[in-house]
Amino acid sequence: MLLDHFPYEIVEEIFLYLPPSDRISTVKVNRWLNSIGRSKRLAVRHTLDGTIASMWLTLKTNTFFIERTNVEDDHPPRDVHTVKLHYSRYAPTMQSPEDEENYDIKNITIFFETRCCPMHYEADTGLDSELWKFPAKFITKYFYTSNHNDVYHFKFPTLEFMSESINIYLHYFSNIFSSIDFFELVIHDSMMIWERLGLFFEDYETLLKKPVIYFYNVAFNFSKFYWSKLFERGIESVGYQNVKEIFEFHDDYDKTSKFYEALSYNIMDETIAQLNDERLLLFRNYHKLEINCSSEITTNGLAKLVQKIYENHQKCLVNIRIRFNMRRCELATGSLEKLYIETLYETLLLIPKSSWECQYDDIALQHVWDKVSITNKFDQKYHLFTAEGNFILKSQ
Amino acid sequence: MAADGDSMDRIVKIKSKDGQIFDVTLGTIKKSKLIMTMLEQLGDSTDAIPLPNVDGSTLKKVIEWLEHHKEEPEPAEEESDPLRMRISTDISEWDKTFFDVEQSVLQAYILAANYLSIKPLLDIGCKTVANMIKGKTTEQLRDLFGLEDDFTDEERAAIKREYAWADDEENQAAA
Repeated sequence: MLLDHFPYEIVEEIFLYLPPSDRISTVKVNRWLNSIGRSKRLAVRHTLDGTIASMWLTLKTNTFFIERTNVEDDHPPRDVHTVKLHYSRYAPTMQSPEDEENYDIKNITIFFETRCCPMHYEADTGLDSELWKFPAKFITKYFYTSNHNDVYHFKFPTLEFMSESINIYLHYFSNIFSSIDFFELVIHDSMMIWERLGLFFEDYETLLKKPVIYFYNVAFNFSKFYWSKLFERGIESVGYQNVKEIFEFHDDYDKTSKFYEALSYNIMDETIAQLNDERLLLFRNYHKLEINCSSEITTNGLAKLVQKIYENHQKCLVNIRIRFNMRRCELATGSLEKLYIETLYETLLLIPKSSWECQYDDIALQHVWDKVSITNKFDQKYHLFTAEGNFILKSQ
Repeated sequence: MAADGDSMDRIVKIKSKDGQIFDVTLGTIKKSKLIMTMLEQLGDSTDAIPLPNVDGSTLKKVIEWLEHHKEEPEPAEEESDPLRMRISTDISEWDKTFFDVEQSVLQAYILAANYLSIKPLLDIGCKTVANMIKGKTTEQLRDLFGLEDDFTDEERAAIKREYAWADDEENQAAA
C-alpha cells in the first residue's frame, strides 16, 4: 500500500526526512524500495553506499582583547568563537571495503570563526561569500576538485550566523556519509557554541560510533549534556581538564548513565567534578579510569571500589589511577609513608584476606610493603598499590 | 499571474475527476502552481479547470487545507540542494489532525498535492510518512505498509552483506 503507490520522486522526498538507519530499514523492505536506495538519481544514496568518515568537532571561545592602536577600535573585551570541523572520508572504490587500499581517503577542514564585533569583521574569506549557507556548492567547488587535505575558513559577524552555517554543514555532511566511525568532540572555555549545535545531534541521527569527548576550562550542566541522543550508542572516552560539572538532577542516573558507562576517563587537574564515593561506584565497564584532581573520594570509597572489582566479573582489563585526598589523609596519619601504607591496607578491608596477598609478605610485617596482588571471585588478577599519592589498581 | 488584493477574491472553478465542481477564491488556490499556470494559460475563461487526477472527496479536503493555510506567506525559495537541512517533527497540531487518516486517504492527499504542485502540503505529507517510518524495523515497515518481502534468498544475503556496516548488533558483537 502507501509507499509502493507513490512515484519515485515522492519516495525520495520521504527518504530525505529519514535518518540513515531508517533509510536502510526501508530499502530492505522490498525490491522496489531497494532499487530506489541504489539509484544514482537518489540524492541520499551516499548514506547507503558504505562511505565512512571520521569527524572532529572542536568548539572554542576566547576573550578577545583589542589592541588600543586606534580610538575607534577601542571596545571592551568580547568573546571570539572558533569551530573547527574536520572530516576524513573513506569512500569505497571497490566492492569489498574491508581492505583499506580500496578506500579513497580525503580530508577536509573547515574553520568557522567570529570576530569580536562587526567593526573588526573581515568579510573577505577568500571564498564565495554565499557559500557559508550552500554546502553543496562549496563541496562541488572545493572538496571534489582540489587537494586531499584542504583547509577553509568562513568568517562571521555574529555567533548566530556562524551557528546557522555550522548546522547547515553538519546536516549536509550527515547526508553524504553512511556512517561516522570516529567522532571526537572537544569543547573549550564555554558551552555557548554547543548550545546552538546540540539540537543537530538531537534531531538528526547519523550513524555515529561512540564519541570521544574532551572538555577544557568549562562549566557545564552535567545531566543536560549527557542526556543527549548523541550518546545513545555510548561514549568511548571522556577527558576533563579544569572542568566544573553543574548538577541539577542528583539522583537521576538514567539521564547520565552513558557518562558512567564510558570506556575510558581522564579527569585532570583543577577539575571540580564533585567526585565522591557514591559517584565513584557508579562508573562501570571502563578499562581506564584516571582521576587526577581533588575529590571527595575517601579510603572507604576506594575499599568499596576494590570490593566491586572483587565481586564482579570484569569485561575487560582495567587500569585505575585515583589521586587520593592527600591533605586529609596526611592530617589523619601524620606522615606520607604511613599514609600510603594505611590507605592501601584500608582499601582491602572489604574483601576476604584470602583473596589478596602482599607482594613481599615478610616486608609487609614491617609495614613497608606497598603492593598487593588480588584475585577476584572470577579468578581475574590485579595489582593494587599506591604511588605518588595515587591509588592504583591494574589488571595483571 | 500578478496577484494583487482584489484579484485574490476572484472565484475560480475547479472540477474533480468525478465531475464535482468547486468554487474557490484565487487567494485560497494560489498555493497550487499547477492551477496558477493553467489560469495563466486560460486567460479570462470562466470554464472550470479540469483536474482529472483528483477525486471530489480528496479535492474538498485539499481546499480545506488551502483555506486554513491561505494567510500563511509563501515559503522563501529554498536552495535546490536536496541534501539541505530537513526536520520532520515541525508539523502543527492542525496539520497532524488533518493527516491523521487511513493510509489510502493519506496517499490520496499526497498524490493530489504532488499533482497540484502544492509544495507545503506535499512537504507535510512526506514528513508524516517519514514519521511513520522512523524507528521501525524492516519487518515492522512491511506490516505497517502491507508490503511483501519479494527478495530471493540470494538477494537477501547480498543485502545483509551490503549493509553489514550499519548493523548495530553485528558491529557490537564484532567490537
